Amino acid sequence: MANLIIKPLTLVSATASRLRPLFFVIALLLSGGSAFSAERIYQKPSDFIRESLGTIPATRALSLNAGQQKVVRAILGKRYKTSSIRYWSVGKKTAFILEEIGKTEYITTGYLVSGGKISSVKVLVYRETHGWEVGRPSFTKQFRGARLAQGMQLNKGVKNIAGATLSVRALTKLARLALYLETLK
Amino acid sequence: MTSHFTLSALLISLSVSAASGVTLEELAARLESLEAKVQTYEKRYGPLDQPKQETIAMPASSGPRSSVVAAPTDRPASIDSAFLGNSGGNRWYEKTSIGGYGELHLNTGDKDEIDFHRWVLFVNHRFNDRVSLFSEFELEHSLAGDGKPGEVELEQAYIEFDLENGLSAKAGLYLLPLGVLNEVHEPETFYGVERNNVEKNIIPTTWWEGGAALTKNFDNGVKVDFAVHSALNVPTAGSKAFNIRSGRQKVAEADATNWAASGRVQYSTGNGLSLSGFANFQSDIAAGNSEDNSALLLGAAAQYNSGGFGMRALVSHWEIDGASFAAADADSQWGYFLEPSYRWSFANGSRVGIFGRYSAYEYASGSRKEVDEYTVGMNYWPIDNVVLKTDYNVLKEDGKSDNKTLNFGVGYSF
Repeated sequence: MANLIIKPLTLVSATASRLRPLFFVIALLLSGGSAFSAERIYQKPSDFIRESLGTIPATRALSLNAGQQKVVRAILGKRYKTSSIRYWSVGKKTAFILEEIGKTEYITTGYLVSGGKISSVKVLVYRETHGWEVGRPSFTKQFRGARLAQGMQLNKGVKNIAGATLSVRALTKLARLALYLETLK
Repeated sequence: MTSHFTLSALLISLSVSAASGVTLEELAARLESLEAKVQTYEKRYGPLDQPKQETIAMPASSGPRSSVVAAPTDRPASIDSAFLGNSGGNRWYEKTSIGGYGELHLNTGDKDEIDFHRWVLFVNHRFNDRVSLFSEFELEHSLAGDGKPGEVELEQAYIEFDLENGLSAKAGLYLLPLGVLNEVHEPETFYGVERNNVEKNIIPTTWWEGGAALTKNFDNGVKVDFAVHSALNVPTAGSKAFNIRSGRQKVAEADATNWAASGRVQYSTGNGLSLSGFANFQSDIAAGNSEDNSALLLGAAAQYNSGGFGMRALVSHWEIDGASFAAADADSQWGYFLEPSYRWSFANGSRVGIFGRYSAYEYASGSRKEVDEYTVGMNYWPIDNVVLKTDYNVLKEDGKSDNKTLNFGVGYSF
């Protein structure tokens, strides 16, 4: 019975919307691509460093030796994308900007680590159409206070987001990497 | 480099002003504003004449740990340029990615059967920052061909356009945004050896169509999908009469006289809770008869996890118009399930989870089937991408004896 009332409405609105996706695609293609950008910048890396450390100190870099590469591989399941990893440090606080692939694109994420604990995590650049939920503060704040426990795992669990599993995994691995890297500097 | 640039800019502005007959006062004013701009720039980013190349000093200390190199203060611009932009690279092997998943099942009960249920290969290609191809090729039941149990299927092949502000569009053959399993069904993401029968028989998962779709991601965790696509064509005679699942044409030389639309609104808190409501409208769900069989699917799903505890719940309901569906008691087909679970994580990265699931559903397939199902089981993940599963399932169908099965499975994705 309810269907009788719902249906005409659905029909009318659906017919009207039928051409809308096509129209969007064509209009945006015609606009020369300027309206396109897969890359979503939540915060500039330099702004993350300034906000976390109060200033932008000299860029320093860790060059990993073979033994350290092995640990990194155990954490990520593969080598890190570069053999030298940059960081910024003031007092006990260290900021890392790390990148790992979610599904097909790199997620650029800022990690602030202090005394073996994560102080804050922020997604800086997100490039995929799926899994954006990891950019939300309600997700990233779960990392606060996390430490490395046995087996290079985090001492606290991070709740998965349905449909964003791969991005959640990527950020969790990078959190472990940031904590490990802090012990090397 | 930069001073050259400044100089040439000045020369250009001089020649332009000479040509257009600008007075000396106007020129002086322009110079002043240029100087002011340079000063502001230097204040923010450091002196312009500083060497651009980083001079890397010797390690500060030669400790036993990794070497630490110090670079001069980077300008924010150079930090940002290292991380912004397309970090994926531009060679073909950086633009093309493959992935896949597979699952082998052993079902024992009235009938014992071992089956490599699915072997799937993803091939994705990023043409540029805005346009990507996603494709999924699947071999079902291991062996395809005339009289063979399996099928070779193209499950996804679409072009995605990334638009500004969380909006993306796609066109091609894609999975519909309905329910939980339809879009995300890698074996390690769900409990139970087989996919649940509610989504399988009611939605019907896995369901793909050809068409166009729009997705909008809002910053507050809300995601909206809208899609216009090809339709189901449900048989109205034979052993599978009025069975919605049998109406999937799989975009294979499919009847296109009718059309359909899907929509979903999803909300995710970002820390454990995800809710969604979804709908599908068919202009005529059965092209094979002369009557009007417009149909509407409405459903909702919830997923929650906190600590080791997890809960997944889904309800969906089809309402189908037309005298033939009403006469066959197939005008209303529905189902729901409730699946609590608990998971333990171990120091070596492995995890173990147990679950229970109660499902109830009523659907048509020749005649009306009324089913209750009870499932308990366990998943073991040695690593995130690999899962070993077992479950015990009791299927109670009205008018039939209980069907009890013990199932085992192994699955992976990459």
